Amino acid sequence: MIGQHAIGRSLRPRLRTDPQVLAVVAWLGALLAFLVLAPLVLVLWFSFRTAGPGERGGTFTFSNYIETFANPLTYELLINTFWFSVGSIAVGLVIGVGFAWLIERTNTPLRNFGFVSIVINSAMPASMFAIAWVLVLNPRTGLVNLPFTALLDWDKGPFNPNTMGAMIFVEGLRLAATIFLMVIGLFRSMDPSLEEAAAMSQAGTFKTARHVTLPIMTPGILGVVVYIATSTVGVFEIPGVMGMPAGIHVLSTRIYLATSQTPPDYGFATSLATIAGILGVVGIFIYHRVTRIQQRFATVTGKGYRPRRIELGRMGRGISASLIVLFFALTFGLPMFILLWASLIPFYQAPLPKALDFVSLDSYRFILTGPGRHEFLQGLRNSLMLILVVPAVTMLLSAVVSWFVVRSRARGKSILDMLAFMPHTVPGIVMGLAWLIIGLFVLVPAYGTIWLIVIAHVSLFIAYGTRTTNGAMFQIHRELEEAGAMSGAAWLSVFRRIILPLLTPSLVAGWLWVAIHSGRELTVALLLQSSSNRIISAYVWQQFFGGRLNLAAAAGVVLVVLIILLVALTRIAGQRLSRQ
Amino acid sequence: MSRRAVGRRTRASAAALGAAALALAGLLAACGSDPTATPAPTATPRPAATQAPQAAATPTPAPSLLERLHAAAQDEGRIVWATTDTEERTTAIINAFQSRYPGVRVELVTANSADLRTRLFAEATAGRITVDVTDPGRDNRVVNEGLAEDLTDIVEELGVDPNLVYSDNRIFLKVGVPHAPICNTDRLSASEFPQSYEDMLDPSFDGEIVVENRLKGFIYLTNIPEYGDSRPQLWDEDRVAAYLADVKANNLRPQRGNGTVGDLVASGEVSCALEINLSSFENLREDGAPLDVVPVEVVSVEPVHHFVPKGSPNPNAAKLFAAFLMGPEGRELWTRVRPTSDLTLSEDTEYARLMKSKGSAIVPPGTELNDHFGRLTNRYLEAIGLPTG
Repeated sequence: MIGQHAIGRSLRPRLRTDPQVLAVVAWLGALLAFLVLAPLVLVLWFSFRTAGPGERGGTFTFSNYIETFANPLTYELLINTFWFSVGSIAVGLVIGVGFAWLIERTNTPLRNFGFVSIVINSAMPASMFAIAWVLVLNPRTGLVNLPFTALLDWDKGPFNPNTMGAMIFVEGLRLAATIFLMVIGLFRSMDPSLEEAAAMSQAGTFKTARHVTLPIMTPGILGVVVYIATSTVGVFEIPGVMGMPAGIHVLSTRIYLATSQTPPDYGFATSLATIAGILGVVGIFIYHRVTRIQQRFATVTGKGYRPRRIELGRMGRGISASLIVLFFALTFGLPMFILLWASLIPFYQAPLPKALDFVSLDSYRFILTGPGRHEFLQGLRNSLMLILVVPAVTMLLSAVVSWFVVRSRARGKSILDMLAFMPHTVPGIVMGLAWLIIGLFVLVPAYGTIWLIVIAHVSLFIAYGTRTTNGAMFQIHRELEEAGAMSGAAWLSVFRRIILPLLTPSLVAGWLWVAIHSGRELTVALLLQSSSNRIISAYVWQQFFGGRLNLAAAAGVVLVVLIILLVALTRIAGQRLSRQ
Repeated sequence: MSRRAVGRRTRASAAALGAAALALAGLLAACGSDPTATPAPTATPRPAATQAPQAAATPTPAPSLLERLHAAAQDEGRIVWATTDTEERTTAIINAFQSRYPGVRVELVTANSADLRTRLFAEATAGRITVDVTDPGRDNRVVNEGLAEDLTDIVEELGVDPNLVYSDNRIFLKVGVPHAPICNTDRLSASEFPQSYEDMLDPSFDGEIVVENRLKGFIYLTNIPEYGDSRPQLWDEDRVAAYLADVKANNLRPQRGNGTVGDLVASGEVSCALEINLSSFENLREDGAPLDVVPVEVVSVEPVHHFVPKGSPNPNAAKLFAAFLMGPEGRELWTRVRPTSDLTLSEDTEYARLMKSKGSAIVPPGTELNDHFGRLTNRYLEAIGLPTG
């Protein structure tokens, strides 16, 4: 080992001066600076201006901040955002980490079903998920309240969608899928020898999980928590559909209201967005501290890499299978059933026998072959384009960035990492505004095309991509690439033939996550869409707020089915690649 | 595993990924080629400039403004129409326009008015307007900052009703959408059904009323000083605020979006909506929802405007389309696709007849209200106990 470290040290100066490395660093720096800094600088700029994006004139001012901090509403927003974030992360963490462990490290039944059910939870656009849960939780006609109102003849059931508790629960279910996808790569890449040693010492399954698996995973999971915490600051759809109507606001919904009111209050919106950004910077700082610890826990070495599944026993298998089915029901079965039901009836009614008279396929006819087909099919085509292109670009870029951040000794690598993380902390609606301006003034040929949305999405999702690849890169010991370098391979060759194949499980998981999120992203696309680059999530939003829940639901169902197909294909391809 | 076996596995995986990509590409292609799509009408051949005059004794009359616009619009070939309406509502209008004026294809952009407005101002600042006819929302900056094209020539040529155009012929009314309270007829018997706004203050409606949280119906119900004596049926600002403060006692359920408000009443989740865009109500009633309008004494109207931005990419096509929307054919089409709307707000529409039978007066607002919109919104939201902007 001592000898290997000595070799490693001798290689580092070479990596620093390798012309290939220097060229890639320069290229990456410039690209990230544009993708990330440009929109962020615009947000900061407008927070100090009297005129908003697109408005003429304007002068420098501090008044936006003075008014924002003098407004008691700001503190109420911060408190609400804090509780919403903490609550939903707690719910998501328990479910996401639990399921990642069950599915990746144990012999639970329904593993494939569990994986797919968690991933297809992400397939449903967040706005559709929120709409579905509102219909499920409505006090009088909601599915879960129907037993109380229809059978017990209560006036209203106990559940209500327009509460902070309901928002936390529903967002937690959403986050579980993201957390699952972020930690599953860690579980998959974990060296099983430590667990095997525990088993040799007669430790039971849960004792091993608690005393061996979880402590090893803690740094990685902490990184995920910090990442998720910064993202919940900007979450819009679920607070927008469930909280906003009842006056329960978080930072993102207030920013949305400030930009959509007449006249828009861009000063308040951009200063709130800057506050969100500052919270994000704090998050990044904590994240860096956490990942520095994480680096000490490299568990994939050149000495053996064959994860073994833990035997759960008969009762454990029964419980785990039940949990998987319950999770499927809550995150997909129930909301999907409600959406399907809503798509079959012209206006929403509780799913009771008397409503069966209204059931028809008219909504599907309308969007697939009727007058709505042009808009819908164009949206579908563009969304599929996003699903194909955005994850490919994002994950490739992420892998390269991660290598530099985790492996290289290049100066400014932490700045590169910070740059990649920053967009994650800015609410989507603000990023949309920033990219609108960039499209109009800088990326002129891309304005009004799907390519501007592609670029904006890459900038939005690079944070997730790099978190996934950073985590996986930490798990790969230096000795593997050092061995490659010792054999005379150039950096590009080592990266292509050693690093990328080892990163494959995480790249596939990240690809899937980015594909799903790009396909369903709404807030950026709403501002960047034109007659030729409409996407399906914007179509769903327009139909819902245009008063056509049935059309929104039908479009949502078609989108979810397509994403499920994508998940299935990716899962098959990912399994084959992982087996290698 | 041998290198050859690894190679085989790699090829198999590559084939699987390739199949996935091909499947998606196939879907893309399928979406791209819509065999049922209405083809863009082909341009009508125009007489060549060198064509010999038909008869020297009978000179060809000079082409009308619309003919001249059509000829120039054919060269432009298209028009981008950005609207808050859905494709469902606009298809009939687009088809009629394309048939009436061959060679000009309408491309539709749908979004809410805030997003349309944000884009418009950004595009105007950049000098890169991408839409030809669009919705200004309630933002007077469109006129004040000189963003709207002067349509006087069209207005004069067509003899457009002066009530349909504002701001020196730069803004025109697309539709007027009435707002009124509605209730579920399955949940309320005839004797329980409210007959006025005041009836909805009754404690029996506690927890039974949903309110659209932008309160647009009440803002348009407001009689502002600029109206003078022209709209005596409207309520003054203090009366609206006092009413909202009173009705708040019934624990209103706030909701965003007329469609979602209508759905809550139609499904029986609540008994009534304090006010709703009656276009949404009409859609639900046509679908068989057990709904009816409360016969309030005055019905406010939300005006939806359009204008042609200065510097639009297809200025002639834009003016031609604006003329079509303002003309008799366009107005008739709007009345058909939005049955509760009527550009002229005359009494000769289904909705007007319905409200007249209930004894309600329909009172459209003036554009002067735009200057009060933000202030009134905040005051009314405060009165009803919802967060203000």
